[in-house]
This record gives sequence, C-alpha cells and structure tokens, in this order.
Amino acid sequence: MKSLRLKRGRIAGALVVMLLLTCLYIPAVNAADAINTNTKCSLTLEVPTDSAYNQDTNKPAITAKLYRVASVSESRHFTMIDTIPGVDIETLSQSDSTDWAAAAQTAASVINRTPDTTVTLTNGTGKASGLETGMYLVMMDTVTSKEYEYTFTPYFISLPNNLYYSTQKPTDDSWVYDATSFIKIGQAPRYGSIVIEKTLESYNESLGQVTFAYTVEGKKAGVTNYSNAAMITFNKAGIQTTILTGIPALTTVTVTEAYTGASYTLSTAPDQTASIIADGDEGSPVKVSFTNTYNNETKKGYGVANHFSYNNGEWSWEQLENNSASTTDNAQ
Amino acid sequence: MRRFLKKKTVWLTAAAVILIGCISIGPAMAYFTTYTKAAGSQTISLGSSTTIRETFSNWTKHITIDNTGENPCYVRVKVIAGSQFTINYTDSTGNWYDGGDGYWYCKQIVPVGGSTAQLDAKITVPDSMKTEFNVVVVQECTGVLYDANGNPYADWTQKIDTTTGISGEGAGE
Repeated sequence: MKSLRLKRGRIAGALVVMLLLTCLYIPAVNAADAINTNTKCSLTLEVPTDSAYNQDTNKPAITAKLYRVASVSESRHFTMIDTIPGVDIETLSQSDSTDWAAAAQTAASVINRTPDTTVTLTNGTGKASGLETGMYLVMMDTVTSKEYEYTFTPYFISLPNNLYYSTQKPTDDSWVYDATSFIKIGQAPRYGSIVIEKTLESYNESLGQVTFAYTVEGKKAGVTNYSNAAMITFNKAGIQTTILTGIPALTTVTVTEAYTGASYTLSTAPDQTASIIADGDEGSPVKVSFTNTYNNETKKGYGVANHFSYNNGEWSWEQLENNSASTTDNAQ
Repeated sequence: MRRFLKKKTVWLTAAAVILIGCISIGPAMAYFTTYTKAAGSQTISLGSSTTIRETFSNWTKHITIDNTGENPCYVRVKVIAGSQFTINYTDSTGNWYDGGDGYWYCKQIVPVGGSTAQLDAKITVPDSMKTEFNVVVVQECTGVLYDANGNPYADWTQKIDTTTGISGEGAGE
C-alpha cells in the first residue's frame, strides 16, 4: 500500500515536470507550423511611402546587399554561418529584450564578404527571389541625389518571416515565405559652395587697399533660404577669389556687387546668378565673376568683414580681412 | 677759359633747376596721382587715409574711423549684409547723418590723428538664418575742398584731371 502511494506520487511528480517542460518549450518550438527549410523565399524591399525620398525628383537607385548570416531549422533555431563577434542569432532570438538594431549595426560593421545577393530598388522598390531560408542582414550603401544624401540603417530579417515574433498576435503566426520589408532610410540635405571671382584690371596704389563687397541671396522653390555678404580686398591689380560654403544644393543664388570699391567702376553686370551644385559633384563649386577698373576718382576706402557663426546655441564673432580664409591671390 | 666758364654756368644752372625741382616734388605729390594696369604700379601719396576701429556688443557694431593720413578728410560709412538681416543705425552723438544713399556721413572734418564720433549699427538676425553669415563694414574718405567763399565741402565723385595730371585734392588748403 505504501509502495503504491509512493508510485502514484512519483508518477504525479513526473507529470508535473513534463507539463512544466512542455510549457517552457512551447514558445521556442514555433508560433506556427514547422518551417519548410527547402522552400525558396523572396524578399521585396520598399522605401516607406511617407519617406521624403519619394518626393525627390532626382532620386537615385538604391542597392541593397543581403547577407545570409544564419541558417534556420524547422523549429526556428538558428545556426550562424558568419562569425560575428557579439552576434549570435540563436541566442538573440531566444530573448524578448534583444536589441536587434544594435546587433545589426555590429554585424554591419564587421561583415566583410561578398553579399549573397543584391537587390536594386528602382523608384523605391526591388525584389530578391530564390533565397534560402535563414536570417539575413540587409545593408545599403549611402546614395546621393543632386539635393540630398540618403543613409540607411542595417537590419535583420528572417526568411521565412513570421509576424508573430514582432506582434505577438496569435493571428499572425503563419510563415511568410514571400516577405515584404520597409527599408530604414534617412535623408539629409546636401550643401554646395559658390566662388566669387574678382578681376581688378587697374589699381591706384596711391589710394591704398580697396574692398569690393557682395550680397548673396539664395532661393529654392520661391523661398529665400540663404542670405549672406562677402568681400574681397585688393592691394594690387590682379585676380582674387573668395568662397562661400554651406549653401543648400540646387539653390538659385544671385550675387550682387553691393560695393564697387572707392574710386573703382564695375565693368561687368552687377548681378549674377548661379545654381548651387553639391560639393563633390561635377561642376562644383559654381563661380560668378566680376571685373572692376580704376575710374580716376580720388576717394579712398576699404572694408572689414565680421563673420558670425552659430554653434550649439551660441554665437561667435570674428573680424576678418577677407570674409573667407580661402581667398586666393592670382595677381597677373 | 671763357668757353669753359660759359659751359660751367650752363651746368650749374641746370643743376640748380634739377635741385629746385626735386625739392618741390614733395608737396606736388599730394596733387598728382597715377594708377596701375595689371601688376605694374607707381605710388604717389594722396594725403588722407583712414582706418576702421570696431567693437561689438549686444548685436551692435560700434564703429569709429581714425584719420591716419596726412590731411584732414571727410568720412562716410556703409554696412552691408544679406537682405534677411536688418541694420539699424544709431547716432547718439549727433555727429553723423544718413545720406539716403546707403552711407552715413560724418558731419565734421576728421583732423589728422583724430577720430570720428561713434556710429552704432545694430544687426537683427532672423531665426531662419541662425547658421553663419558675414556683415561687411565699408568706410571711405575724401579730401577737404573749399568753395569760393572758403567753406569746406566734400566731393565724393571728384576725379583726377588726367589731361594735366593734376588733381584738385586739397585745393584751397
């Protein structure tokens, strides 16, 4: 009798342990059916519809690189293919608090091999087919248009995909072998420069140094987005240039010689217009040119530039002989 | 001997003329000028010369012009900035006036070694332009002229008489 009670107790204990083990195992098994690891997958990459990229009239094509960094088993267990210090997909997938974004950044900074496949996104969409199941690292190189620079955040995506793992909704627990993913894209404006070239054909040394000053007004889509002044000072005849930087690309800039120098006359048009080309692009920096000559007057005059800059919430001020350190002297 | 003496007289006379000419060049320099083409140049002083002295506080440029030349002169000042920036001039001393042509004029003749009264130029920066920008301060000076009644005046468009090579700067002084 005592033996029977002991037996019953053991059986009950074993049942409890089995039940507990089963409960613990359920999340890891799957949220849906077993994965068919022989099925080929596809991945469609899209730029989010609300991205400013879609409004860019010169938007560049985007090339995505796909790295299959881990294989996956039928029960959604991962085995690393690439050795990436600090990134083990299987371990990461077992935790609810995994920082997948940080892991993807780490992987992107380490991985150094030919991607398994590439996808070109034209007009914001592109598709890769015939992909093996597993965990993929999606990476894109920075691209630029005439006006903007686009940067991308690398991320992991599992194929097949299963929304359950992101939504935790039981209704989303089927495997999606043809997945769609929105890429993580950022947009930043590009800037360009304008060179003001001044030719002083004749110079009266008796009058001393002479300054020529300019206003520079920029508009984009009819809105003033740049306003500045510049100056060049001569102490002999010749050619000098000065450069203004940090002007938004594709801004239409009008440069006006606002001060033609004491006793000097402008012999070119007083206003000149140019469209700013982003730094590094062909044709940058754009240039406008002015020519002045001595006009036999006797007044003297020169100017000083006050340069103001705003950084981290504070203004700084310095006085410059010329408004830019990049002034060059190409005296004839 | 007489021929020699005659010759000597000629040479001495010529030397005297040259010496007198050299002595008179100094004052004459102030009335002559020339200009350079390309890199070539000749220098003849025109007398007046000025220097900008600036300080900055509370978004205001405090501008003073020093006469560092050899003659008294008139002075005018202009502040140039982009169209989005507002420049408001303030003359607390009553020594400047707005010429209506973009320049502020010092009413007084600035003596040699002297300075103008302070002219303030307040800069207003719009929020949309809180990046970086330049403001250019330009000053000009011109010599003091006198009319038929001996009243001093400034001619900001006075030109050198290129037909005789004589300019009128300083005339009547």
